[in-house]
Amino acid sequence: MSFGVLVDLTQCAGGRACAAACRQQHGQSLDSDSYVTTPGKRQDCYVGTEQADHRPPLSADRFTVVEYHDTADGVGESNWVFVKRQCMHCLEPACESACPVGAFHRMEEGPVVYDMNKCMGCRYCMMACPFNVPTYQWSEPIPYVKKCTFCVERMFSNEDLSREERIPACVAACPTSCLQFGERDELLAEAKRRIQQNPGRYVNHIYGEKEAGGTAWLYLSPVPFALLGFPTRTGERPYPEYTEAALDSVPPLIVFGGFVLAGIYLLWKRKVELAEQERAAGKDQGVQDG
Amino acid sequence: MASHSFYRGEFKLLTPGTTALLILMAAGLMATIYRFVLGLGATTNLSDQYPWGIWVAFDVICGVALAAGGFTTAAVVYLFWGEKFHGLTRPAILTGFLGYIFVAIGLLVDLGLPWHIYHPILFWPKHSALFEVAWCVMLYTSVLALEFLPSVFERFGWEWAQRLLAKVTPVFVVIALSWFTFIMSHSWVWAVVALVVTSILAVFLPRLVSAPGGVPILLIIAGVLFSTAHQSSLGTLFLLTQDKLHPLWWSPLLPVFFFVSAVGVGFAMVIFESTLSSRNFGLPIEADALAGFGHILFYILGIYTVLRFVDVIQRGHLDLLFSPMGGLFFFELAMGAIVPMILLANCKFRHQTWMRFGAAALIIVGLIFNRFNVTLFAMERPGNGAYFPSPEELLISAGLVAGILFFYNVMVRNFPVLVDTQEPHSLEAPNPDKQAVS
Repeated sequence: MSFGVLVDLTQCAGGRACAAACRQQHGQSLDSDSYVTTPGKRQDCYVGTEQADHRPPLSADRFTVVEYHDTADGVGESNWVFVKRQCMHCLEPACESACPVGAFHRMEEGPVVYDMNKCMGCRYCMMACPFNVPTYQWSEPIPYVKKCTFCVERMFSNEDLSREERIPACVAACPTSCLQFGERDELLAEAKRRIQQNPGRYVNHIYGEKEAGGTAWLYLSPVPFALLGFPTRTGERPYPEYTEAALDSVPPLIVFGGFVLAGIYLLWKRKVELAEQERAAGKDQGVQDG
Repeated sequence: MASHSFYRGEFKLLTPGTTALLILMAAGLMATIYRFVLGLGATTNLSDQYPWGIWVAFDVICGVALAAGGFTTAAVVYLFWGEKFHGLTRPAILTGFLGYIFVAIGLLVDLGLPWHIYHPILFWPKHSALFEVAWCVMLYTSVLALEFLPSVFERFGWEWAQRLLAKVTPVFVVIALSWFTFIMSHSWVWAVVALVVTSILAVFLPRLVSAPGGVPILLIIAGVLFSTAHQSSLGTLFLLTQDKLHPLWWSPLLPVFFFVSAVGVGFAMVIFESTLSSRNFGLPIEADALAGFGHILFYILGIYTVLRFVDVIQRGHLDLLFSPMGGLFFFELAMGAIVPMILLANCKFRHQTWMRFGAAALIIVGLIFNRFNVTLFAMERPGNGAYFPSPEELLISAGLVAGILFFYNVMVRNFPVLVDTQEPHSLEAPNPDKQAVS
């Protein structure tokens, strides 16, 4: 059984209750919950009183943010689309395959979790993640990698909790029908149904169905995902496959490589010996001739 | 080769050269203390956008490649019986050994939780390129230590230790190779196969190469295997960045490119360093051997250049060669491979000390440029900030380089490393003055 969340971007009003609930769940300061926008075509856009912030939005003290994207062409009226971002919880995570100490692990139920006791702080996960999700506690003297946990601490809590209390905090807090928690297969079917039943409302693409081999979080959007800053070069191949072939060739390399190198050594040895014999024979010849 | 005698020199701590190195090392040490007291955020320009900076790009990724001379020279001399290159082996192995030690120090500075550096020994993820690199570097550094030990034993005249080493090394190699195969494959079958194969080699190959120094041939083989594995795995690291690394640099062949270029730069480093140290220590330049390396380099650079171009064309990115990034690609290849290849193609140039030295320097700079391109310049990161190393980052990197030069200087003056053809009897009948200094 593998869980996921369906994010229907047409339903999001940009209220950021999800982000606030996330901060509360993880004991982070609400101050860090600033508006985050990404540069659309309208470069001078202001949101509220804050100037557009072009930083990578996730950070060690905000595991989820709502980005404000103006998808209009910059001439007509604004056309805002609000995009919640967090860890996509890949079915075959790049971070898990990258980590040299196995600190990342995808649970059967879907969450990709991080074990701070294993981490040695190499930050390869941050380089490898196709969605640029893992962030680092740069200002801490003892820094760890931080990212969305899919609220595993709620999902597997020992307390007697209701369903609402077990699903991720952001989903529980969402006042609209933007976020929906469930089994990934069912959510995928639901997403396909929505696209079919509402022609023109969505682009015909479920982001996360196949990206990077599929993710637990699935997105529906009214505009092409590229306009919203979603990574477009992830491809459909699961990331671990990129390095598997190269790493699988290491054991045979060691075993057969040893034979080959020993063979080279012995062949060249023979060659050197033959050359010496010839030289010696040549000398003898020279002596006889002389 | 037993006729080789080695350079021994008085080590003076405060010459202008060593003073400069000591100042750089002290500055690097200060910066390191800063980094550990204040943390990574306060002392570096690393960020979520640029989690890897100059320490990873230069100290670790370039450092490992630049230390490849140890295994390439050992392979040429011992596996391919390149007798005329013999005099280059010990300095190359010493450089490699120092190089790996300083890579490890650089890594300790870069890691967020350096006291967890031993964790790859405890936890064995499957299919992690960095895990593979971590183990290979550990094992290969041990191999380099064992390859260098004969110099130490010779220095103190411990023949019993030499004999012990000859007995112990095959056992070490058999265990190391089998163990490495096991943790990489997570399979008992592979581990047993590796154990059988390496045991057969240990039994049937001669214990020691006939040449002096008494390096066991099996150790050389292990060094070449571990080096091949981790030099290429550093390229494998970047296979996971297929969505961010520019397509002129990202290729499924990255492991091959990293390996071939490391082999090349290994030879170039030997030319570079041997020329400089001959000059520095007033020894004759090993012209014939270095020209031979120049000749080998010509072929390696040729293979590398052809591979890079064929790969770009085969993946259908010919058009990108004419974009601005294409300019960077051409510049990198021209500097690091094409121009030195043309220089080294010419037999006359190969035998001219400074022409050969220039070609080697170009190869080295070109390789550093390539690794920076792959790690930083051609890597698209989210957001639109830029990265430039902080003074602390630069000082620590400079301090590490200074450290290698300083300890190389100390070692070659006190241990039989550099071949000295001028004083054929310096080892057998050491000058009492020199003896007293050490």
